[in-house]
Amino acid sequence: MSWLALLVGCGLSGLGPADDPHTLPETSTTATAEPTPCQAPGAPRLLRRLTHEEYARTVADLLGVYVDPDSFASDPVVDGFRNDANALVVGDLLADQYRAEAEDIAAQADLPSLLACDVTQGDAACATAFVEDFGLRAFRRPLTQADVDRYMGLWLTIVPEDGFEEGIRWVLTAMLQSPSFLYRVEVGAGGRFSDAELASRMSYLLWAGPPDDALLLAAEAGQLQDPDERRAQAERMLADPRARRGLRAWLDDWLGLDTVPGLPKDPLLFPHWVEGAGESAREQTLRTFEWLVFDADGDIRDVTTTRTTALDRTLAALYGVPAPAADGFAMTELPPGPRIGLLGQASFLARQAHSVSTSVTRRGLFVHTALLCREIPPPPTNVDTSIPEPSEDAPTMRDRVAVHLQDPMCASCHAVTDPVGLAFEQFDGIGRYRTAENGVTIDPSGELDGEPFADAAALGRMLHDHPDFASCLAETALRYAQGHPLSLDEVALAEWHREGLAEAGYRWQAMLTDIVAADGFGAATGEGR
Amino acid sequence: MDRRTLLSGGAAALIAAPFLRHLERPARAAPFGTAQRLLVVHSPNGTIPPHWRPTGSGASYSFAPGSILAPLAGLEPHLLVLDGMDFNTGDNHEGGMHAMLTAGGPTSIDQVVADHIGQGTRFASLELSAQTSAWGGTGQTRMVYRDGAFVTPDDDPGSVWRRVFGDLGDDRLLARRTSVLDLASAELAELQGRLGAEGRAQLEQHLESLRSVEKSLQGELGCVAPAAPAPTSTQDNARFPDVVAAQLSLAVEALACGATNVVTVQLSHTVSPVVFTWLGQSEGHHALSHSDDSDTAGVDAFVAAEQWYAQQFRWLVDALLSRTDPVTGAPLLDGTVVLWAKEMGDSRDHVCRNVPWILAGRANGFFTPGRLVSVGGATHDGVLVSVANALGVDLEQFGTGTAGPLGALR
Repeated sequence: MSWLALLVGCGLSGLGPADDPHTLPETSTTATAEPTPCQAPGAPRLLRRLTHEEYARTVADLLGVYVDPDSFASDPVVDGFRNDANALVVGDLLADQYRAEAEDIAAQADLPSLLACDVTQGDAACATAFVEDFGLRAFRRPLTQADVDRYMGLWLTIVPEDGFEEGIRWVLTAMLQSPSFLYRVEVGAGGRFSDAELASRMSYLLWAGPPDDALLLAAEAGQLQDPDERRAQAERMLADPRARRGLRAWLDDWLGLDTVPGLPKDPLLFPHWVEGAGESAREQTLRTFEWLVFDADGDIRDVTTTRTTALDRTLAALYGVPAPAADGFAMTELPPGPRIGLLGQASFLARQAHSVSTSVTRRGLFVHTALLCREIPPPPTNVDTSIPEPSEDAPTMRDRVAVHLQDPMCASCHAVTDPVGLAFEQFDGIGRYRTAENGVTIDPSGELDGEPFADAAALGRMLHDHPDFASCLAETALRYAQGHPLSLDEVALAEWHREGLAEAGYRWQAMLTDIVAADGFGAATGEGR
Repeated sequence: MDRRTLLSGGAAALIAAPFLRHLERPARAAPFGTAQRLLVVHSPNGTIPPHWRPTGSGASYSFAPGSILAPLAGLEPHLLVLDGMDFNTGDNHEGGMHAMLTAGGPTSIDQVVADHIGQGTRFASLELSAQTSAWGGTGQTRMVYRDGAFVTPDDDPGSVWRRVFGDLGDDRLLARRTSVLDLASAELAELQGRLGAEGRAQLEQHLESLRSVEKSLQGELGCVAPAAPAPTSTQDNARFPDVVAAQLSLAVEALACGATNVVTVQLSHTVSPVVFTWLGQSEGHHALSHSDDSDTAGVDAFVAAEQWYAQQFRWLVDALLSRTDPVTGAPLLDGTVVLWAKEMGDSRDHVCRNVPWILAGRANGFFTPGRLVSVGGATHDGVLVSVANALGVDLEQFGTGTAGPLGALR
């Protein structure tokens, strides 16, 4: 797309409804008004390689062996999402890492717990049972006779030389390198996903990990084609602690939390950014959502306004409030002030900032793109993106970013981002509260879509009820569930889910249950991108 | 099965008796007057040309004290310093990163070269890197491409060492691993037959990767394995110098050992946030790279950071000079084309014009180093053609460019 086209899309006149990416083109077949579940588009047929995090959790659930997901070659990130099916491939490096990891895992696996016989007295029958039982869990589907023959063939070549146990370990090593383990095969037949495919679609969405025995049994019994059975399973699964893991995985991608622990910050300017501060900041956001979604089962939009949060000593010191616990995290109420909700948390304030300063533009951009799902193009080439150093005439960041508005080309986007980002100037480059900059009182007022607000807290309350925020929540959830950029039909489906979310009082568990129970969740009819 | 036990048995024995195998390794016949090895190293965020440009011209040039390239003083006879080279396509950080080694095409020059000269080695190519992963992978963070998709480099020196030097086993272990890889390949082929167009490309690439793994596990280590690098936190900013040193060292060892003939080393990535704390700095490299001339403190800090990269390049060239080609007995550098590539010219302008590249080595006589070459607007696709030609690869144009080889380098 040319820069000019993007510029027009950005809108010199602001982001009015005509420019709003949420507005569906008239050509779309599914209108925003009441698409019924049976009209909902299906998911594209995809081969979805496990993300490194999914791999690690799958191995942990299967074998209780820990794998460091960061030890694998990093994957492409598409729109912030690490589970984009088309981007997840197996190159030379990753193939070798899978090989070495499989050998390591097999060496660590506790075989007696996986076998129906004594390791020292194993025979072919016991090996076959292992292939079938462990294979069912590792492949998340019953093995075919061809599968069993293949793995028993491998076992048989090893037993004469190295014995029963080595044979089993090599079978395990091979299964962990199998495409049936490494990929979620979601291709369906006759336009429907199979029961086994549905079980994985559900478990990796809700648990970010493999199906449990109950779900595999339901799949084997052919129950998962029934939306009501899926709903019942989803409700069961959301009551399981693994659902917190699933929520965390989505949040890590949507909010980019995984990058917070590695943020570089100037230690002289920001002495409160101590070792581990980034990890604590990420954890605070995750725990706040967990509390809201699972413990309170409340309105997820409250995350923009709540003063209830989880803090440890590091963050309490950073925020200048009493630590609620001597060790680790505990829930607490923040005192009155501009620090409320997600946008008062260091995971946002420090991430959307530079190593030595705040960033008005990045913070404003995040609100528009991540929370309101709007598209704002990057600056054009050959543009000096630096802003003037502070001076007597321009002591505050508000004064300094004013240069963005002098050039109409810059202003086209900065007039959208900066008035939002300025709300957070009362929080420095790591999120510490301050009232003045270079001796001048900070003005945290601004505007969003032409509506003025007084400070960050007021902006948070404005976002809470902003229709685009609820739509964006639904879109990012569906984006994560589908593993590819949403088609226009899927955006319409997300909008349908948003309506369901509103009817359910914005309870996120209801939203996830609706995604799983929707007819489209079982339909393998959509076109892949 | 205990991999450590296995290592201390078969593989260790192999490592302990390397010399005979080393001498037995057949020499690959290189075409006369071309090099056998390619080593590309990248450092990010462009440059500030007045602080970069050497003084003098042609064969009479030198690096002024205090300039970015001052650490290269004394290496003048071995270098071709390119002044005034533009990219044929691409602009700004991301565009420059993508175009740097591809010239706008789907595959980067190192992979083209590897396809020609990488078949006789355990690894057709090796992609090494330092701290490229913190932001995940985007076009902004990668320089090696095959068929339009980037190849993820290995940020972990420990992992590189394991693959190149640590994981060769005895015949029985090799047979087991081969059986497992064959089994997985059979499953992939079966899946391919069952699926339609969906996932075909993914499965094809996976199959190809398994073939590469199988090849890398076979054959022999042609040298004494270097000591494994000390474990370090690969993404910790403060450890960046350790990771860079380890990766550059492994690059030299892998080439010297004949494990591969093509190595790329990507140091951070464009828009690099690395803070050179070990130089007493507190601002990120990218922010510093945009210091305008009035910001003397910022410019000084950026120059110091760039001098540090120049020191790393110096170490690399010195290492290749001091090591001996096992076949010819000449310095390893003679048969190696070394390219220090950048993705932009003046970082303050975000442009891919006047991009500061340096070549090292004479490519067995193909290049005539020892010169500051003013190429005045020649485009980098032509330089990449020359690099390929210097490695015996018959190439006339590259990427979306139309330039032929750059004669001024001969």
